[in-house]
Amino acid sequence: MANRQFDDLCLLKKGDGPESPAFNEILIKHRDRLRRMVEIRMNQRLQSRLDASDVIQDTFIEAARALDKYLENPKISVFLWLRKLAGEKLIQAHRKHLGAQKRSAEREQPIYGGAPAATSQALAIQLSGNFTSPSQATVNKESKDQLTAALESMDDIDREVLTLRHFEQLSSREAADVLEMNYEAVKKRYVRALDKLQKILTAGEFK
Amino acid sequence: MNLDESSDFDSILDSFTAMVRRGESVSVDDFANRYPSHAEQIRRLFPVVKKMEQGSPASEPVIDPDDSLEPAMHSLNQIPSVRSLGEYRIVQEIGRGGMGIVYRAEQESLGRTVALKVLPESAQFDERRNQRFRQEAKASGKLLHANIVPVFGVGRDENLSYLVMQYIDGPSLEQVVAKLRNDPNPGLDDTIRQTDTRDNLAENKNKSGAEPSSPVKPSPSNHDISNMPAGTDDNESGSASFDASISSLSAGGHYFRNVAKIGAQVSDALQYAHSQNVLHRDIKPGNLLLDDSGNVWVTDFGIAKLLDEADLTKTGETVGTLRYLPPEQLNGSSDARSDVYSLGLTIYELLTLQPAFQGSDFGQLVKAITDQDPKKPRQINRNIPRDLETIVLKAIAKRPRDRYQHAGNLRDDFKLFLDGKPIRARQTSELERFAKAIKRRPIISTLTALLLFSLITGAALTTWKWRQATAALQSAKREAQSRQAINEFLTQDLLRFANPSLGGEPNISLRTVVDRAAASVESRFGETPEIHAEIRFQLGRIYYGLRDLPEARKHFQRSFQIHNDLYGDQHSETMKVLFRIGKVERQQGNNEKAIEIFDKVIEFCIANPKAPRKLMDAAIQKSGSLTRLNRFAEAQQVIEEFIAEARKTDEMDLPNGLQRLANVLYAQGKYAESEKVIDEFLDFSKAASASRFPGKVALAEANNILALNYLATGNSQLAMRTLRANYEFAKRGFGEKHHSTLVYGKNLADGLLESDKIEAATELLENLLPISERTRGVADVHTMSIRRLLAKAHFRAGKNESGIEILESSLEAAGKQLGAGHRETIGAAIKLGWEYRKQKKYAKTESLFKQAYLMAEKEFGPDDRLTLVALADLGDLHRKTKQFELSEKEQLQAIAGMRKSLSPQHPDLIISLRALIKLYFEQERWENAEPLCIEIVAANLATKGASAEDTVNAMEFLSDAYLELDKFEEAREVLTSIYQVNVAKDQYSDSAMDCFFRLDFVDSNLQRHKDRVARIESYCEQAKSSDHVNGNYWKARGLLGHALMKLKKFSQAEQVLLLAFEGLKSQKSDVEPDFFRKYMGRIAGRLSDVYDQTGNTPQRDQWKKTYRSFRR
Repeated sequence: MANRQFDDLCLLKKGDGPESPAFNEILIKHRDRLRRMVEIRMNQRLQSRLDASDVIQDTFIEAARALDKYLENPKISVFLWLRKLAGEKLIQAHRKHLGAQKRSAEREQPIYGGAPAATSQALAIQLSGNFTSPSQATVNKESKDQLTAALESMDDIDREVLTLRHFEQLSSREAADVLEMNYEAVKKRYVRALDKLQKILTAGEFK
Repeated sequence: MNLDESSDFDSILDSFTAMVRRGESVSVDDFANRYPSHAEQIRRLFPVVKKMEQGSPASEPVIDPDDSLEPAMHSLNQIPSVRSLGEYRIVQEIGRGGMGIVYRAEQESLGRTVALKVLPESAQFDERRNQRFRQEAKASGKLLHANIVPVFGVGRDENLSYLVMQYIDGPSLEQVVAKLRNDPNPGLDDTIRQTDTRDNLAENKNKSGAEPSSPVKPSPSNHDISNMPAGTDDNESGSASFDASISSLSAGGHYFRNVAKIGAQVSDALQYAHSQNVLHRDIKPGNLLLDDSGNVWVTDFGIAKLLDEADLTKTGETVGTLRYLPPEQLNGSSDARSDVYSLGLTIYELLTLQPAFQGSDFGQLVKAITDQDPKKPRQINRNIPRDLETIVLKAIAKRPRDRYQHAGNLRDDFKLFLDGKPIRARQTSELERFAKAIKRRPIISTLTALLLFSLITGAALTTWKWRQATAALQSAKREAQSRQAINEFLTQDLLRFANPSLGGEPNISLRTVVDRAAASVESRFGETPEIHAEIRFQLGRIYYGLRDLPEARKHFQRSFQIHNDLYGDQHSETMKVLFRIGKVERQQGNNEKAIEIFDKVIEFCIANPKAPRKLMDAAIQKSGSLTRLNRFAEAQQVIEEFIAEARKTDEMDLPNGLQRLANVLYAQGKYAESEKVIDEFLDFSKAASASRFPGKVALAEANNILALNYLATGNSQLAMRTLRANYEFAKRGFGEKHHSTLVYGKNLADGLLESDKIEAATELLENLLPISERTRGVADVHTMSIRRLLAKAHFRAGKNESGIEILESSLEAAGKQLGAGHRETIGAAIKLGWEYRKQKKYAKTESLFKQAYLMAEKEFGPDDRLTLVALADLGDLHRKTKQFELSEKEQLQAIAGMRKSLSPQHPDLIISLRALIKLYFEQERWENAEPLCIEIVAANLATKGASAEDTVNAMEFLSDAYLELDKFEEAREVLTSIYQVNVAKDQYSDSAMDCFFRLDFVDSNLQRHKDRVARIESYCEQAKSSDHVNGNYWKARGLLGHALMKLKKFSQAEQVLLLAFEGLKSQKSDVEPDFFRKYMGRIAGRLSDVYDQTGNTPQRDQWKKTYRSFRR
């Protein structure tokens, strides 16, 4: 597990800064996963004005700028670092285009791991098939609506854990880093969230 | 028998997810059948997992599935599910862990139930190791002890090695701790039963109540039982069933005793094993089983040795085992004392319900084990008996030679504790240090004794004032008599208790000494009221120094009463005592009452010009109380009057008054004025006029206020220097227990935290907290603020849970000791509410905020600052929870109140305004937001200047509002200002670029195309020369083309646009193709416009086509 993340880091360290092919390769490698994160979390209103590619591009520019500083003292894996940058870009985009999301330094903490929380609207777009591949189009849309509704009714952290684990496909450890929670706590939380989701879904079936 | 059911389930879940993601066809039923002990959960949850995965936006797995899995799962499948081994028929799996899987099995020949431990395949042996395994098993098989799980033998079947042990029906202490941690007060039967998975899953067993039901009752040999006080004198739990044992474990008073019994049993078992030359090597909660008669059983003797490190690593158990590893074992050496250590840690965990060393990765843990002293148990839970803490701390000393040298010594201390006798281990107590000090310097005079006393109790501050009081006393008529009497009192009453050789009580606390002395005052001095009153007065001061305010008040009041009887209430001696009572009230947070008392003292002073002017200090105190109540104007007036008086005479404490004034000004956010007053104060120290030279304490205090001023005005480097110097100064000058040292230490930590030196801040705070708790009390105002800061440091370091824990315990302590309506308690509730809010637990937040608000309003009225802050916070929370109307009403009300009592620059007001702005933004009520934005910009400009982050932030708010209201001119002005600040910091930062594009947008709307051209060209020139030609650069070039076109400079526009198009094309488009496609499309569109204007139809159509092609 740790090995692969470590490989990224070694590659970057051996590489020759932002111009190196290694850097480019790593960006491309993580691009899809980052894009998905952005798509899941982009506000509906924003999606009409901006697409994920703008955010990703800004992220990569920022990554090139900040690479040296990151490599000085890498505290998180390369992917999580990129994800964090993308989250920041996304917050900026939200603020720039929606005006309201600026966080205040004193009393409020940034949303999870520096990325906006997965909103149910954004999830709904994801689930309703806008971005699905043909193979997924066959999946029963009804069940997706049901899943959307179920997720929407859940507690923020629960929804977040499930989103990270299944939609962003992060490992428990990565999710723990993103949520800045204890690893064991995230594992427990995850199982509990699944449990709740199961209950909500079953309750729905009886209606 | 290290079973961690939940982590196993996690691994199974992960492997299922990975298979679904890879698109393999997996059946939930297969999984359920493969892992019968989790079957229920699998059948319930896995379909949901499948659904989530299919609902996922990705159709392809983007990561190597193995990547996301925990290493533990690899070893999971390595032991095939067996149905029988040798003559043993497997009944059920009861746990698995690093040491293998444990099954309950039936030995068919004897018809008895046994536990089979099957070693993991990775640990299967070659012949040499197999032999070793047999030897070890044989050695542990010889152990016969009431608390050691008997090993019947070893076996091998189809390449699987296994140990046959007696089956113990009961949970491991690991499970017990987990259970108690989640629910410290479990009900008698049912809760326990639910957690005991093994019982739940047993096919035919459904035991009830306290009925012993194990098919094979453990039959410890009798002689051993008689050695064990633990197992036999368990009156409370009657038949001592497992359930009763657990519930009595958790029942407050008995819990710690029962833990001590466990400690006694295990250490006895270890002592026995050590005498047989067998080391356990892996004592931890998971290896201690609690049976249904409350006996504890040690299992896995010597097994740790059988598995080398590689095996452990593979099974992912390293960390779990590491937690209990003695430091010397990291170097490969271990002896009997290593087992003592691990047992100590286990007992620690039972007492505190948390591991002594936390940290989830290997490196952290090793560092903690080798370098850090775990938190003292009593810091975690005050109810833990001190002796038990002492025992545990001795057992877990880092150096083996500091520990109990034999398990038997440890057992003996546990027994002494259980018998209520003094234990042998001792902590170096304050008393010891006190006694040493006395030995070095025999007490002769009252003065030295009390001085010594106050030094030890950390009340150095009181000493120099006290010296003055003593001087007055000495000049009194009955000087000789009183001195002798007081002397006698000290030597005979006080010190008698302090002398261990006389009292025979080695563990008596300093506090007890004073208490006992105090108890004998009345009878000793009843005949001489003047001395009685004076001693009462001094005792009051000692208790004041010990931070026992109720006790201090008691003595002051008695002293007051005697003085009153002797001289009447209008006498300076009586007033002197009254003044002290006022100070006690103030310290207890009863500021209203304190003010009443100070008023009386001040009145007396004014009416009696001959009374000691020292009493006028009451005005300083009163001003302090008023500040605390946020009645700033009054506070300022009182202290200004005091200063005016003090300037006329040499007898009043002018420096102290100035300092108070500086404080009041600081509290109102009048930083510049505050600094001016401090300057005057510092002049006194320079002038060094003998009568007015401010004491060192006062000097330090002045520096402190100065540093806070620097901090508030953003001069952080200077602030940090001052803070650090002040702390070091106080530590050296007053000692580390001195109140001022604690305050400056806390301020320094605050500063460190602000400048992101989290580790340094944490370390400092962890140093300060226990000192403050001891010298000032657990719920003292200052202790609470240290704890809050420590929690903050934890949050900053990402340790949210421990941060919350600190705050919860702080709130609880405050509620218990100060009462629910106390300012500190309410403040603690608000603070905790915020932390829950950050974790998005809004319901919890709401109830805390609401309670705080209602309580503050009830206690202090609707216009009090605390009430208003609580209300504002509640309002902002309701914005978060989308109750907009309620939110607006609450916030408006809070802000109106703040405007009445706070300066327009006060942070509370600014924060509240910002919250309201957010509400308006969210509702898109830009016109409501605009004036508020202007207000916070002005306030920030006035206090912090144009380039401060907060100012820029406020300006961004304002520009947002202007843009939304289409007020482009105004937006332009604000954006220009922000842009300048940003560019000065970093031209290419996101915020600068963001601002740059926004300004361009504004200018485009204002038709200021020339300005656009100038700005873009200036940026491009710099970007080019500093190698910042990237996507943003070409985007800007595209906008330049647009501006030129608008200026009808078509040929220039054409050139720029063509170049920009090529530029984008040549950029590494493989990185994010969509971005480039989008902007190339836009440029193509503009080019087609240019050609349209110049009448170049073929080119126009050509580019229009290109434009379309880019639009997908």
